[in-house]
Amino acid sequence: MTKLPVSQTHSGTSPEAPPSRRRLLAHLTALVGSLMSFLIPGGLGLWHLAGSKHKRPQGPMLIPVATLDQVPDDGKPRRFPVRADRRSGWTLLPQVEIGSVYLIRSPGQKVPQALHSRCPHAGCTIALAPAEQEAVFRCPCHRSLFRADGSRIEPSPSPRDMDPLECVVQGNRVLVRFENFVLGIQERIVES
Amino acid sequence: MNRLLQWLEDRIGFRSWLKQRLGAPLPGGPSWARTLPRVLAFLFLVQIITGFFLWTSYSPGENTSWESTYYLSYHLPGGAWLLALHRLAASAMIVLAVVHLLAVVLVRAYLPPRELTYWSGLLMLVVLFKLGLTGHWLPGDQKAYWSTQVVTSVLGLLPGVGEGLKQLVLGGSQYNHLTLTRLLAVHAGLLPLVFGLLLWVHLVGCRRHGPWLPPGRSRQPQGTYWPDQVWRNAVAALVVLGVLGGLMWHWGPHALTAPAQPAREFAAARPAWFFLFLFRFRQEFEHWGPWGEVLGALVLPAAAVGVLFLFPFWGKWRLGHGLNVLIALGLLGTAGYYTALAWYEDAHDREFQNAQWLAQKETQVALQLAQSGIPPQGARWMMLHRAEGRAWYLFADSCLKCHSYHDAQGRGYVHPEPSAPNLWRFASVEWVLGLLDPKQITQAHYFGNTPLKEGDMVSFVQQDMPEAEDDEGRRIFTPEALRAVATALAAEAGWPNLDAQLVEKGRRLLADDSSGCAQCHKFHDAGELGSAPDLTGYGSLEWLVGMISDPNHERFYGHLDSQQQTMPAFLVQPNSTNPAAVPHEVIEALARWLIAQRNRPAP
Ligand code: FES
Repeated sequence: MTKLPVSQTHSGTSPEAPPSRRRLLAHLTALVGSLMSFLIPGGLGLWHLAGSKHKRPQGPMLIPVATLDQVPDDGKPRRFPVRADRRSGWTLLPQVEIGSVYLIRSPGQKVPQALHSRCPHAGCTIALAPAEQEAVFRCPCHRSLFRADGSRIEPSPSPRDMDPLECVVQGNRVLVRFENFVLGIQERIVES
Repeated sequence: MNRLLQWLEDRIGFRSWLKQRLGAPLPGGPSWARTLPRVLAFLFLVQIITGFFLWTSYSPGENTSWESTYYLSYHLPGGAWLLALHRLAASAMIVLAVVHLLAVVLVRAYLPPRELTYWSGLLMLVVLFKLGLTGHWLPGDQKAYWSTQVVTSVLGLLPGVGEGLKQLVLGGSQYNHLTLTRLLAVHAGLLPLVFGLLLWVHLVGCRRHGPWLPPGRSRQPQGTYWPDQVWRNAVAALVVLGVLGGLMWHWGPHALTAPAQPAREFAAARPAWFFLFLFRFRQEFEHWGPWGEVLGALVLPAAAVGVLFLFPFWGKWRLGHGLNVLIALGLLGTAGYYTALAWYEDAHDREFQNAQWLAQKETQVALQLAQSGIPPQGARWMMLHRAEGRAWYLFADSCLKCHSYHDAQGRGYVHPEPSAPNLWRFASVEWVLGLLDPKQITQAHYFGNTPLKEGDMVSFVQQDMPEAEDDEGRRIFTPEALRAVATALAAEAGWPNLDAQLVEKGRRLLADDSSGCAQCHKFHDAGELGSAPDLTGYGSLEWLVGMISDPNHERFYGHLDSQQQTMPAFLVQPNSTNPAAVPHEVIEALARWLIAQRNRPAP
């Protein structure tokens, strides 16, 4: 490029000088060029960062969690771990604990009732409450209390009752369709 | 907005600082030559930006570095391009920095009072090489691992401090989790910081002494930094980005090789291109023992940098300047010469070409396996324990011990002294046609170096076949008939897109037990086992599995005497004596791999 003759540019000490066309072009090129040269690597990086979401490998599956004899029909809740293949970034973790469920079978009942052990409030794992209380479950984090059927004892930090899960008995096996629900809200929405 | 700027101005004088910088008059006017150092600074920022984002996805450690690099390049959006940009911008920085240095030496811009600017620039070049080195190691793949090994072992040879230094870098006496964790801290933390500080010194010096101008040029200011110089800088930066983008497009963004396998050899190990000269240079000292290593790889390069440091001291004299130019060009020439030499030698080294081919295929296998999720033990373990990985190593270690695997152009694995047929496109129409050619069958490509050279098949192809006639006295094995036989066999193997009519005709010849193949071979219901391999399903998955499992089974080469049975059985059995023997699923994976290769244009 040839240099602009002095007469057409100005020395820069007086920014109020009337801008000539070439001057405007220089300003534009400087602005757009600088922006673009940083937007290219920056944009690429932001795309990389923002687009990196973990995809769920599959929808909820029926997962065997217990045998029927492990859940006697005495109306007492018992917690069972739920195991499945889990993807953690590049790693495929085979058959690891992805959560746990409470199974309860009241006297005479064939199919147990399954409750998600994750507290709908903020996601702590709900524990069994000390005996001799109305509550059967108690969350250790902010003390939400729940009855045997999973209903809240109000007032409660938890916005909804414990999350029930579909439970099926096949022969001696107890299977649960395991899924997680969005925390902290009243509706029960499956986590995406 | 204005108020915010004013607020900032009142607190830190931001506005006047900006005005002063951008509105600075340009002594001697704006120039394109002066965009070079600015593009370098820009590329440093590009490295900071891309490096940061790569950092958000990279995980150092012995069984996470390859895995996360793989994941970010093949599964996360834009990751491969981000990594490629980071890699190429590093190369571009080294190239441009060397050009910048050369220009400075040629015009004597290092003279007082610019010595410190010059020295900081030199140090930045050194840091740049260190950044390149550590960056090359981070992916933890084969090329990275072996480069780490070589460099740290040379480091360990340094008298006195060597061992300690090596352990410091490796985070222990051997490569382990801490090695890459440390390297990342150095690569992404320490070195950029040092580079930044040096850059600051460099810039302060530049500003204080103004740009270098040819003697006699007026220092009369012309234009201002913004926009007169800035727009030139921006255009230059965009051009460089464009070139890098073009190169990425041309080469493809991926450069990851297979996960490191410390227990296996990797003959394709080479450093990054900007260290290739050193790699080749130090070979000149190999026969000097450990001292030679240290001399060639550390002392002489350090001495060269040291001499560069001294330039300002005698550069003001005419003779000194001449010497400096000579030294600079000499060093560049030496580096260029050894780089070119290394390239040339590698390009003409069949063994290296083979090694590179093996590395490429190993990478393909690893990428394929990793796709369905890497086991918690990591990719290295995956390659050594999954059937597909074991199958690949079986092929590389055992099959290629005797067989070749390359096309007519020599692409693939060219065995220097093959003692078994070339397996490339085994059982294809062309492969079988070659076998049925009286000249080719006794070449190394087929039975030339095997006991079968003296066998019945060779005498059939060379003597009986050309003379065989049918009842009416017509030649049976016309070129067209041979093609039909080859096509029919390829159909048994499952090659696609074959002429159905030819297949039909070939099958009749194959099943002909009076003058055709079934005289010796079994082919479906025709012929009998016991004098030649079964041609039923020849080259198919099932056939390959059987053949590799036990080539000396009655169905294959059981009819040969034990002296002639040169290929061992690869299926592990209670009484198997072959140390390389593997379970059935590995053999099946190998057969599947061989078949999958058929769809690839070149091996
Ligand atoms: S998380 Fe259970 S009460 Fe808050």
